[in-house]
Amino acid sequence: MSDSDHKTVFLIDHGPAMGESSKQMVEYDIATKSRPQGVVPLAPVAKSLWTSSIEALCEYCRIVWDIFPHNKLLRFVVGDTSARFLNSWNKEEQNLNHLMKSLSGVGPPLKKADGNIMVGLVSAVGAVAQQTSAQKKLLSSGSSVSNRGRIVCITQLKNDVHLKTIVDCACDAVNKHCESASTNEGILPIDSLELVIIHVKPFGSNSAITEHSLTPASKNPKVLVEAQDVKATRHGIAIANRLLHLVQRHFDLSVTSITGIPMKEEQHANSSANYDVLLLHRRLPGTAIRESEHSMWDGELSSTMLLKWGTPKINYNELYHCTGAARVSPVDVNSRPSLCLTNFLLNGRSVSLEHWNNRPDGGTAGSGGSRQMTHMISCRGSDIFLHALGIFRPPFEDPPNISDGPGGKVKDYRISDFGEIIKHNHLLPLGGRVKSGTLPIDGAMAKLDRRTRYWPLVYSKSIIFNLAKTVDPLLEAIVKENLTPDDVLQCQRVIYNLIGLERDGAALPLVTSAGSLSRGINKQSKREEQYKSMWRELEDLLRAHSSTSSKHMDILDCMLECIGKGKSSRTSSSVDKLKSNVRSGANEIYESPESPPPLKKSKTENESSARIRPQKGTQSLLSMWTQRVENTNSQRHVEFYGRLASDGNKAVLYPNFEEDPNNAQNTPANQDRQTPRHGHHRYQGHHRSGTGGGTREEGGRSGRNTPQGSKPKMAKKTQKPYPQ
Amino acid sequence: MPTVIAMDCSASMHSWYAPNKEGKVLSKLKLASECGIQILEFFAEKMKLEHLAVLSFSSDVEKLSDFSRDYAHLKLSIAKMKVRDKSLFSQLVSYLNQFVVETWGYMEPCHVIIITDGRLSWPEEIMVAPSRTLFEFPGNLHILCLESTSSLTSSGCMKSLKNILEQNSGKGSITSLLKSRLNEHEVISTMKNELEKFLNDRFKIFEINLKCGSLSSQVALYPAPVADKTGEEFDDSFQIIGFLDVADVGNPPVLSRHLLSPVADKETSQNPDETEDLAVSPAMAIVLHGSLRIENKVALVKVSPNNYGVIYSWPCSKTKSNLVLSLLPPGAESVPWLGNIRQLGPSSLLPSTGKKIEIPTFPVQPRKGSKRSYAQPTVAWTRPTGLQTDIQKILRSAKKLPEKSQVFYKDLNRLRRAALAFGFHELLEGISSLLERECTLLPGTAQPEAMLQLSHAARELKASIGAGYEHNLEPLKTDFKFNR
Repeated sequence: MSDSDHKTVFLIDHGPAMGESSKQMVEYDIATKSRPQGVVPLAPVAKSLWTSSIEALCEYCRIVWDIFPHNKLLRFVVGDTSARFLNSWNKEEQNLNHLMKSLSGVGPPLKKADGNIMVGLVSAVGAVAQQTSAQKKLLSSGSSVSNRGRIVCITQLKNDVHLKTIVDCACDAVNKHCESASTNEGILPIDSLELVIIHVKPFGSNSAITEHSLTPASKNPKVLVEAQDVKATRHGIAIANRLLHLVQRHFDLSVTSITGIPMKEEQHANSSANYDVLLLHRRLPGTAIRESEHSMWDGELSSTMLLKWGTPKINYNELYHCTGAARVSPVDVNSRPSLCLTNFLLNGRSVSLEHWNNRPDGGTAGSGGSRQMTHMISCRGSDIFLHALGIFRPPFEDPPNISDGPGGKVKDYRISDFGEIIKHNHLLPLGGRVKSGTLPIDGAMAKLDRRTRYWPLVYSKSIIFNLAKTVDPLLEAIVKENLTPDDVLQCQRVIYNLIGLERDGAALPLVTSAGSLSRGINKQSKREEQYKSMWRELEDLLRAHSSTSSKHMDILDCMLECIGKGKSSRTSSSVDKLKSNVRSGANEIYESPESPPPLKKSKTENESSARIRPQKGTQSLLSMWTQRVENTNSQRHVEFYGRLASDGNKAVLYPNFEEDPNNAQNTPANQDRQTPRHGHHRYQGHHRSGTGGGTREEGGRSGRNTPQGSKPKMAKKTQKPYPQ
Repeated sequence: MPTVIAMDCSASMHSWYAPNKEGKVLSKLKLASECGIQILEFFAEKMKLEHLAVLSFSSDVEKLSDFSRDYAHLKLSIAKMKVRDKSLFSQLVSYLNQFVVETWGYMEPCHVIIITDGRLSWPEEIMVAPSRTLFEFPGNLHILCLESTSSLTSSGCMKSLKNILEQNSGKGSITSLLKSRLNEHEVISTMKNELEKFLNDRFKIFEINLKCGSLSSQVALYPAPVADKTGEEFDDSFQIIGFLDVADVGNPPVLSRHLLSPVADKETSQNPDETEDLAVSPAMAIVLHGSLRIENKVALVKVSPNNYGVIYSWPCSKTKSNLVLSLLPPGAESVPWLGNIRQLGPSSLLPSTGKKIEIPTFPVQPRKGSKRSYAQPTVAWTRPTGLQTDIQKILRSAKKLPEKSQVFYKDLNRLRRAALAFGFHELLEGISSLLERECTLLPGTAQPEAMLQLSHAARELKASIGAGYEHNLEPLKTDFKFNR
């Protein structure tokens, strides 16, 4: 925004001198084959200086807007007796359509109008002083802006004295605007100004000014003046060429010739000839800086680089090292070769190009004369870009293989599973489509974080990621930001299924390097250990995700209750610790300070279940099942108020039995009606065990500590706890 | 990054540093070659992947060894150094500009270490232009002087060395390897210490934590990345944002590329016994590499608040491939077809409104109404052929009237608007007469409507010169059927 090419103001003289004919005729009625013989062609017309200048100006603008769609802004002032702006610094008014439309409102200069361009010049300086939206943005972000600009003045001068008056006028205007900048908002002091004055004259005119390249003005060193003298020869193309040279220098553009483009002949469709197309583009980084020859020259642009047409067969799935990419603009946009090339590219083709040296010593840029792709031209989003490809050695040529470094000897990486993460985190240009407040990039990183919270790198470090069919619904759901009730249900179902697996004694996938856990133990206990680490791993996974939402927490709680660990303490401080734990390997025992005490105690307590399956380490299937049922039941069941009211766990039944037998009989009857079926049975069970006592007393205690305190439960040896 | 060691072998380097009592030759040249060997040993030990070259310079430059990683060969090449005439620094600079660029191009940063006694002649007349820098490649110039700081200052050498450094935009350093009044035993040890300090200071392996969500991996970057022009520092960790198809990312312009190789985490590497286990402890970078290669994707990574890069699997041979990071030019909008990088996100972020939403795709299209000149009909009449082509087109459809009247009027209106914009009213009158003449040239077989349309257009074209830009010439209504 501080570059001198950020703002360019064109001042076009609309005085009578510009209305003069360029004295060069344009043939517009050219002979064609279809025209019968003997028809006299119509007299050619002459372009005025004004027309030649405007045509040339439009070409200048076309190129700038093609190559710099943003931040290179152009403005136009038409000056006669007054000054008229044709557009503003607004982006919407920076295009050729807008310019042409406003120009048509101006029309050709009037023959008799009087005045000079001084008024226009002062306005042009004023336009440079105005801040653009990009500068405003920069200023508001606290950066300093050096306000530089350029004025290109197309006019006809009388002599060098006239030139000096114009320069002096510009110097004064710059000073004036610098003074007023402090008081006016939106006006910036001008730090430097390039004033390019182009003196245009018709063919045969002898008026001349002294041309000179950029030199500081004597009156104000901030103003650099350049004077150019151009005669509108050859249908005014001299002016156009002069402006092409100027645009090349003003915006540091390169001229590249794409050579040898095979193209079908217009007349003979089955033969093809090779054509060249001249393109302008920003200088590609990585190419040598060449001193551009001076641009006071009315000839055609000549190319500084020749690129030979290669093949349009480019593999889009290969990533080329590209040192620079620049938008292009054809020098002659409507010529047949240009149109053929641009249409070919706009249809989505890419073409490889080869740097071609015309020097006698060497053919191609690559060594050894072998064909080397050095550039590529392709269209991306309706803009055509010229890419410079890296042709030099990479600085890390011939590196050691990645598998020679740390982690390289590991064989069972979850590469295809990581592919799933990649697919889920495929980025799209969401610009503006996401609800405000969230930047898509942050959403993307948050999603990636959720997907990787618990993610063992190798198969052998994980059991649950090897239990694809059983655990997948949970793994898929848990990484979501928001869980639907369905998701929660899915997850719970997975947990129950796992319990089912354990109950059935199904073998878990063998985890080979799961540490020393399974070594030297018989098969049964090995399986037991596996389930133990599976549950531990599942807990780690759920705990890692528990901080996402309360529903995630619910799933963790569900799982913890199922394996008899009680509710988690709803803190997430352990998550971080967990993460590091995951990295170092999932087979370590994880105990956060917040987690409930391990299950060893319950093992000793739970003698009856130990009797059923003496090898079991933690819990019997029965106790797990009862817990589960009890868990569901407890949600439906209304606690017997007698127990709530009593000291400890035991409700004294019929406390008033002796005093008032009638009253006492009513209470359980009422309770019965309110309690759902299971609750009722359970209550009965309790009743029975409470009164019957005996052998079943111990079995009724599952060893699980609920927050309400342990409740006596019905004990069953069978797996169906309730009477049918 | 590649490093060139350039040894000054001018006659002044032949001077004996210390009085020689025991027949030992201790010339500065000998010291310089000691330095060179020490530098090579440092690289061989710590930065095995770097390429080095050895040059000697006087009034001419001699290449002792081309860029290589064969440190033994490089060491041998130092021995080939011979004393020559006077040193001409400008000669070295122009040689380097050719030598380095030939191998690495104009984009690759390169270190140039010069070992000298400080007497580098730098004729005033070949000062580089203010807009240019000393080197045509991004070069860091490190001048190691076999002289004490005080003697450098008193002889005026320091001033000219500083001047040289300034010419390189200040990128580099001047280090004095010796101290004044050293006896011969101290000379070598002092020099070695100073050099060691310099090397440790300037040549470090760039290590960073590469993060992919909650997973992370410690990686080393070869060559070390250079902070962008705005001087924005790199983040403490490089964080992956998401993934893109290779076809979508489409050969973006790249500032520099770097090999990513997993290294041991600092915490775990402290114990030397564990190095054995490193090869078998899994590294995220390897999973990432494998998956990127199989899925043919690149990972977009944030390296600093305003700088991004892409990580991909780079095949270095048919069987080998590696993880490589390419740094994109600064800013979130450095790749036009990706749009603003901050606006990239997974499709799950799109609001689910129930109705089917259009999934945005790459490449990002430029904003509406800003089509390039080659992608839309554009008028360019600076060359006579431009105008003639447009007129020929109109005449062609004029001959096929009334069938082609749509095209005819469309092209005619376009020409009319352009002529108005260019203030080329004479042309409109000319075209009007042209159409009138075409009228008279119509063959007898032509439909009568063709004549009607042509004369209508000719008349209207002339009459509407003052009617404004938006005015449209409409075909003459010749179908009166609906009036019946």
